[in-house]
Amino acid sequence: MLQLDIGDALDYVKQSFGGSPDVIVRILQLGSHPGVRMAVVHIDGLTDKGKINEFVAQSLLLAPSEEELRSMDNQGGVLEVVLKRTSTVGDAKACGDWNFIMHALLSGDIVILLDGSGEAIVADLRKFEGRAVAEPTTEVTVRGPKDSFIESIDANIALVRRRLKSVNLWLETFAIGRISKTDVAILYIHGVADNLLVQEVRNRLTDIKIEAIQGSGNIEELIRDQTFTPFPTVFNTERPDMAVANLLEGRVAVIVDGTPFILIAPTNFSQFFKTTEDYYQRFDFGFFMRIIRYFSFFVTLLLPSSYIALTTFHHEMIPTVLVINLLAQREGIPFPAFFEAMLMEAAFEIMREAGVRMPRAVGQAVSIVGAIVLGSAAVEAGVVTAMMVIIVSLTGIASFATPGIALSNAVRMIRFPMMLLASTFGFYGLMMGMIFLVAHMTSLKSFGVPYLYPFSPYDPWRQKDTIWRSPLKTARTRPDLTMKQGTARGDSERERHET
Amino acid sequence: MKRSARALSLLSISAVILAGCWDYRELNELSLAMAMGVDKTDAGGYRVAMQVVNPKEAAGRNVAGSGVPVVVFTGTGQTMFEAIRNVTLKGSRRINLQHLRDLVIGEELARGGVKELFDLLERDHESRLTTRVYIAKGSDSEQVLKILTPLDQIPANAILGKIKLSERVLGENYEVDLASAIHGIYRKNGGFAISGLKIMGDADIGENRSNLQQTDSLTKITVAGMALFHNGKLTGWLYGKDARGLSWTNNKLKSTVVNLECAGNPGNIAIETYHSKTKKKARIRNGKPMIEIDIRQTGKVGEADCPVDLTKSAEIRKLEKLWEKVTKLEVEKAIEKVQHMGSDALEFGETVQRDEPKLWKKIEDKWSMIFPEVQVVVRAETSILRTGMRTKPSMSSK
Repeated sequence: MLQLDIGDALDYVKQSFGGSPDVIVRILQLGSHPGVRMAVVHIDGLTDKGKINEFVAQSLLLAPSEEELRSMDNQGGVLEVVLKRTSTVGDAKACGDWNFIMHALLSGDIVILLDGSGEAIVADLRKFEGRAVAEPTTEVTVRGPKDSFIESIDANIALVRRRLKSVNLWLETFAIGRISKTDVAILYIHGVADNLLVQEVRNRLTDIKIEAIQGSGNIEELIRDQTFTPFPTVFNTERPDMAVANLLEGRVAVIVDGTPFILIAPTNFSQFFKTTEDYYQRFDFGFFMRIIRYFSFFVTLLLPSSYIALTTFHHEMIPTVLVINLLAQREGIPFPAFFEAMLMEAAFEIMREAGVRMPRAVGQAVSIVGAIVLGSAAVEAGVVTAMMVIIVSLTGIASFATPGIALSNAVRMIRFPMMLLASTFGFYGLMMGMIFLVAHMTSLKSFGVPYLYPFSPYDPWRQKDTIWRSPLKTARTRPDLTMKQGTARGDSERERHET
Repeated sequence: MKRSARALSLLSISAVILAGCWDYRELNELSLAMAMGVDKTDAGGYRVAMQVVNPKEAAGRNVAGSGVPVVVFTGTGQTMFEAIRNVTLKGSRRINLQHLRDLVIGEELARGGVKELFDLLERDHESRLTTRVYIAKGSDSEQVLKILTPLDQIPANAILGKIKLSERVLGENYEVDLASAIHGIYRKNGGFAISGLKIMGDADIGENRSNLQQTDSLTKITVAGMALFHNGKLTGWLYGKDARGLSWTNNKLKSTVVNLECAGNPGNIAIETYHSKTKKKARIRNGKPMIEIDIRQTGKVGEADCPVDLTKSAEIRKLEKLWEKVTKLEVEKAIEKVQHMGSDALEFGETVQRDEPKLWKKIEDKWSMIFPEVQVVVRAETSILRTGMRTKPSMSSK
């Protein structure tokens, strides 16, 4: 129950907010003699101002009719009358719990306090000043939809719903964060997503104990299976079409208010090499692009280290003409190959980091200085070999070819220990590193699904959409995320719905 | 559990950090040996010469005329190993044999026997069994390595290019790598053939850069003949057509040119061999081994300098018959010569051993005596498939 006296109730609200001036209170009177005092409370900026004015003028300021006056005399009649009037604007309900009212207020609802009622009416007039739906910035496609998620959770859910007009697209919401109470929603297709999986996602979300959520990255870190691994075990995307494709494969999407990147679980290694573009272009070209991506993954991981191993341990493996060429280049280079590579790789990483963080206006300066100083001047000065510049730039470019940035970041880090191994043990060390890496990746799981599936455990019947991209006509079954029998694509969803 | 995991990771990290890099060698700490020459010293030991790359000059992007692309270091020792170590002393960097292309053996050493030579090259982990072997005809190997060559900056590459070209277009020489040389030389009573290299012109002039600064280099290296070995010792040389007969017999011929006489007319017809395959078989006749040689080859008319009507298949058949005859004669003559020299470079011994192992057991020890007397039958089967871009010879149009 709230305070019966409206003055007390308003004092309580003001006190709770510490007198913050963006808490707006309007006091109105319903009916004339004696009438009932009402207070409309909302927070500036979270609600639609125009709508409030319209709403107040149309539903609260009108003089009560005879019938209304009669019912106002009854016990709780005032509340009923106002609730009836408020319902014209939409979602409105009566509530007597301060906790709920405060949360509603903070979410952008308006609250109508009534004198002597002990309950308040909460009505939804939310409006958040947000960005319009724009082109994706990190996952660009040549041919395909050009919309991307934005910060507003409602808009994001709508973007998905627009693409999946099915009653089986189910949504559950959570408020996570002791202070922030961030809206987090999970989306899945009922009947397609495994119930156990949905339950697992639900459990992990409700288990989160944290003060505030600033972005979906926080959630990812809190729900993933293993913390100490460089590899991402939760997928993220800012493309609604990617989200829809994943939902149709039986995955669960986690949308976090305030972040245009939604999370998708479970995921596996091969997913980071896919883009929605693969399916918008011809299947053979999709296959070709994927080969390029896998190849560039290995280039990023192994090229600098292989070069070090070759030039410091395995001279016999370099073609003779090339080895003479390299010999000539290395004449007078002051650093050992490992140090030379480290120097250039570090320079590249610095440039890359600077390029991401700096204000856009100075961007050009960095690229010019980077290209000239580190490219040609370093070679001309005889500090590094031209071959090393080629190797480092090729590695750098290849690292951008992996569509999943999270995975490409992991590889960028791993290549440094690989270089160290190569410079101490040559290819023997490199092999040890690879064995360790593969063993580690095999041990990873994403919501119970082995990370390397379907490569390991190898499943010959699930290779239709990994490196090879089959034509859509042959894509009749869903990838089996729980490694039980895959469900058929096509009519199963409708059948389930009708029965 | 947790403690052992920690200990394990600590161990593996220290394995990386503490391991000495025993094989670690930066490229600029190496000198790359491209060719190696071995000669005999008067004291009975070896003198080894190494042709080492001078990378700045050899890499190809430099302005020509400033220095020499290769440097030759020599060293002597009682054993090959000692000699090679002594070579290293002459330069400032460790010599690396991994890219060794050519091994040149001086003729004097070859005549004295080369059996002791190959142990090191087989034992050492750096040397490769694909290195080609040559005999320096009439000179020390060291002199051969010192000659600078035009076009190919590195003489070792030039030598390899020459032998490959000779094998492919003329068939008078063929490549012999270390693996097959070792196989042939250690065979009991076996023979073997290795290509020869000859210096044309003054060897001293060839060492200078000036050798490259004229259109016709004063000193050149050419591939010349095949050296025949018996029991690891050089016994004689085969040249020209005889050497080609040897290539034919040993199934090493890839392509060559055979000139045929034009029936009743002056002028010649040149046949280009595309493809040639030789099969050797051993049989027993009267308790003695006999060798049958079958040559199959296809080719085309490369040049016709006499009026012959190539549109008629009968003419082509005639040419084929003639080609067969010429081939047969050439091979027979070469075999006769080799048998006379007493070197089983024709691999007859191996053929007998393979086809008639029981007989071989009996005659193995006396093979040196038997080989010169072995009866040989040569058969050739030829077919001319094409006549080139024109049919009628230009002569006949008159």
